Formats: sequence, structure tokens, C-alpha cells
Amino acid sequence: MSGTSAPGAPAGGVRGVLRRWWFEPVAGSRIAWVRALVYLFIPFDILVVTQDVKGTAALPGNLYQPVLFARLLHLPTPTPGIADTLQWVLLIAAPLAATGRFHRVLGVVVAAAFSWWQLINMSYGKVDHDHFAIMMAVWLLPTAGRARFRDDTPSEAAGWTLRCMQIAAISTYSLAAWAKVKESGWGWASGATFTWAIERRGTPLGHWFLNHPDLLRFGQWVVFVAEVLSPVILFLRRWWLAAALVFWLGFHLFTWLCIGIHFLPTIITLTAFVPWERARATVEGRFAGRRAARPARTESIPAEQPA
Amino acid sequence: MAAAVLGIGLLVYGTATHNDDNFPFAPMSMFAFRTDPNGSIDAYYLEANTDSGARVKVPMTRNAAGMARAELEAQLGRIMADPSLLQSIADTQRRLQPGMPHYTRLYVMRERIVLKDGARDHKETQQLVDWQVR
Repeated sequence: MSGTSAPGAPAGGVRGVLRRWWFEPVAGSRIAWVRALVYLFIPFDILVVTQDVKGTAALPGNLYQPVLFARLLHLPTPTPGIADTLQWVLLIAAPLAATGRFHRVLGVVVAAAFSWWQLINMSYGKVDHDHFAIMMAVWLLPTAGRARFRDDTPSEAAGWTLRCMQIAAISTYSLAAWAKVKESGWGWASGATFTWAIERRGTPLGHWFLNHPDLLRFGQWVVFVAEVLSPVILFLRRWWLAAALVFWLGFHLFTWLCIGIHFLPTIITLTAFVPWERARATVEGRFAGRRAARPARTESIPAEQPA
Repeated sequence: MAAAVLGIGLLVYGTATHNDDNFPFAPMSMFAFRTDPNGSIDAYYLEANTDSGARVKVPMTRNAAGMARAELEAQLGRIMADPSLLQSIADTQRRLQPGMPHYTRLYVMRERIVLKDGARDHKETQQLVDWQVR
């Protein structure tokens, strides 16, 4: 596996910089947390977010419009039986994979079944991009090697996997800007696409904005600029990174409140940016502090507080 | 690293060729089209006569009709050219909702909201094609 090879002496030039950035070792425990979150999200996805794949699978084959990968893999025309089987496989395999046991075998089973499910989901004419990053994540996670929730040993394999997940998530934003320019030219943000979205599927809150077209146009500019700038997030650290992630979480919350589109599958892959081992250390530190504070009342204080 | 570069290459290729068929390496094209502030917003949907005698709006969800509105719209060209495809939706509704009134005739409808300066000016509804369910 490419992620485990040692970098050896630091290579120079662009290649060396790229390599160090892409394989920057991170605490292995991060993989354990991200893996648990992604794999525990999958049952929610297939039971709630894309539950209606079972409805499409009931359609006769003449409305099935398989996308390229479904044709290349010669996937059969979906049936309710196929949808039920995939759902059961995922409901059993994904929570098991979340534990980190047999991560490779279970990870590949989940990746294959989830991809099949999503290929069905996108094969009736409409292709959404909210599942791109999580589809990459399920194929990336089995390459990350063993990882335990409490083992913070730095790992290049973990670093590679998380970096690729980050790039996939950010691509969802940056390439959306490119798609807008390609499809609509530079005038996208001055159009009325938000009005279009709200007129067709707006919530009561969304409909309030229909009376404020200038506000909607301003929103389009904010989103477009944020999408263009999104690759910067890959190089941000600490509070700047946190602020950028909060901005996108806020954006998704807002679109959910206004037009019912939430992008949760993409949001779950943004967890690849979170230094989970630090969050855990902070929580454990608090608990340890409390535990230490209790006996401290009865025992001698100097013994509890080494210099 | 080669695997990652290949993945990014596929992704960029998907956006550059602008082809949804390449999913998951498809362009991130949701809401990428521009709507003219003085243009119009179309939404297509189905209406149906039912065997209980009413004319109803077909709930455009996959759980009710097998197809969501976006999919009806994506396949609209095919359905307009060959309205017999609507038979599949009627058959699917029977299968998914056996206890509900069944469709005897389906109509493809278009609701057009005409915009003026980015806000709604007026609304037009038009019936496009229909299909007698067998």
C-alpha cells in the first residue's frame, strides 16, 4: 500500500513538498474516530437520506438509466430484492466496520454495497453531488490500516487517507464553482438560481426570502466566492480551519432550513479535518482532573501535584 | 500518491467533460445553471384520474410513484416522445401503494413561474401529454 512507505530522506522540490503534505503523519486514532462516524452514518443514510432508493427499485427497467460505472460493472436492473439485500448487508456490515475489527474485509464489503446502492440512486436520470465525498471515503478508509481509538501513534497511512478524504470533500465545493462557470459563465451569481430553488422546493423560511431578491443575489455571491476559495481550507490550521468548517456547516444548515437540502453525507466527511485525538485528550483531561480532585480532599495535596 | 492523483484526474475529467454519466466522478452541477431574473422557473409534475373518480396531483416522491420530480424532469424528453412510459409509473404506484386509489389516466403538467427582476410575476399551468393507463 502506498501510504505505508517511508519517505526516507526529505526529498526536495515540488514533489518532496507535495509528498510531505500528502503523507503528513497524523495520530492513528483519528482514523478510528472518522471511520466510526462514517460507518455509523451509513445506516442513517440508507434508512433516511436515500431510503427512497427502494421506491426507484420498484420501477420497471424502461425507466432505469444506468450511469457509466453501473454499465461497466454490468450491474443488473435494480429490483426490490436487490435493494433489500444491499440494505441488509449494509445494516449489518457498517456498524461492525465502525468497531475497526476486520477493517479491510468489512470496509471493502461496505464500500462495494454502498457504491452499488448509490449507483442505483443516481441511475434514474438525476445525479446529485452530495454523495461524492462519502463514496470516496468508503473506498479510502480500508486502506488506512489498523487504528484504535486510544492509539495516537503517528501514521503516514492515516495521513494519506485523511488527506484524500479532505480533498474529496473540498472538491465538492471548489468543483461546484467550476461547474457553475462552465455551465453558466461568470454571470451565475447575478442570476436568480436561489429564487428558482426556493420557488420549486422552498420551506416557509425559504419563501420569506422570495420577497428579498437582492438578499438572494448577495447570498449567491457569498456562496460562489466561498466555493472558489474553498481549496484554501486544505492549508488552514486550528482556529482558521475551525472557522471555515463552521462557515460550511452554517451554509448547509441554512440550505436545509430554506430548501430542505442538507448535504449530511458531505458534512460527515468533513470530520477528516478534526483532530479527534486532541478532543479526546481534552475530555479525558477534564475527567482525570475531576477524579484527581476528589481524593485530593482527603489525601495530601503535594502528592497529587508533582512539580 | 498515484492512486490519489488518478482519483483527482477522474474528478477533474468529470467536471471538464461535464457529464453526469461519470458518477461518482461527475461534475458538481447541482444548481450550477443560471436562472434569468426576467426569465421563468418551470416545474413539471404529474396529475392523475383515479379509480375513485377524482383528479389528483401525483405525489412526486420515489416512495409513492417510484420517481421524484427531478427524475421525471430528467427523463421528460423520453416521456414526451413516448408517453407509454407513464404506464410504468402507474404500475409502480399500484405496487408501492396497493391500498390507495389507482391511476386510470396520467397527465404531464408544467407549472411555469414567470419572473420579473428576480421575483415572481405570475404563474401559468399547462397540460403537456397524457396517457390512458391500461
